[in-house]
Amino acid sequence: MIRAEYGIYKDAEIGTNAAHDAIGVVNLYGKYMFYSTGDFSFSANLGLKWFNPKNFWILSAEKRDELSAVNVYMIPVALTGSYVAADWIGLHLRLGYTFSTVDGALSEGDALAEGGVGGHEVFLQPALTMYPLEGVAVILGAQLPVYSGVYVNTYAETEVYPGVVAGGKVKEFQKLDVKEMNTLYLAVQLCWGSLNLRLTATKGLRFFNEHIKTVLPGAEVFWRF
Amino acid sequence: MFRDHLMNSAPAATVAFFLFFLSACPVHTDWNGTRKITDYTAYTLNEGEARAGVGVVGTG
Repeated sequence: MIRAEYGIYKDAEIGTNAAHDAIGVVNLYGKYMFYSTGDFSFSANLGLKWFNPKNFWILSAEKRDELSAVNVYMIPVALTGSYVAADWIGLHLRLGYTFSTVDGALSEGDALAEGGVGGHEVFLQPALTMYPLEGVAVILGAQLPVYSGVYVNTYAETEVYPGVVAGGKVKEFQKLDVKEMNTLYLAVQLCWGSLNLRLTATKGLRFFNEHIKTVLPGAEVFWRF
Repeated sequence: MFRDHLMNSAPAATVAFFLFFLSACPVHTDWNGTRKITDYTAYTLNEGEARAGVGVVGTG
């Protein structure tokens, strides 16, 4: 992850993960805090991720050519509320929805065509931020998928006449079981002026529809200037 | 007696009391001033402020 974010206007920021951009997954997000009383704040988030496999340089040249007519889009939107319970603790809740789709022709045998891609996901992200000491923050949070469904290509057969069976691929919407897909994290952030170090322990990190059950350590160094 | 009262209270009331008690504790930090944490929260960077960094293993 290579984070780059900028406050473009009062209460508005844009950002991107440059590490994804570098491998051909163009991504941009914006956030606008539309209401704030001091104790309560609410923001709207909108993002766009796009990739065309022809730019996905980690794939082989042959595979890139084969999939070059395909565009994959993801559009995450969210509403986030924050409440300053006290000067040392904040409660936050994000309700998000991600729409993903594929535009373009998929040829027979493609991984994307076989596996299916595109769908809808609704998720909740509660977080608790605590500031026990000057320059120290503790963040406890979770990512909880509430609903998830994808379009998959399946093969269906019908007996049109006695003894004559016709079959073909159909696009089918399938609801996914996401009960066990929760991600929990605990982070400690240390701040020295503009320099920040965040150490994270993440349990249940999700990678598409896979779930890593072991606790993973993580670290991030960033500057705010 | 006070302990009994706490033990017999509804959990929400106990949590509220706990938060009220701790909110009175002085904490020396400016985190809730101009340097609020912006990810996971509704807050944004200030106008003209930038944030840049590198990390491994996030939370998705």
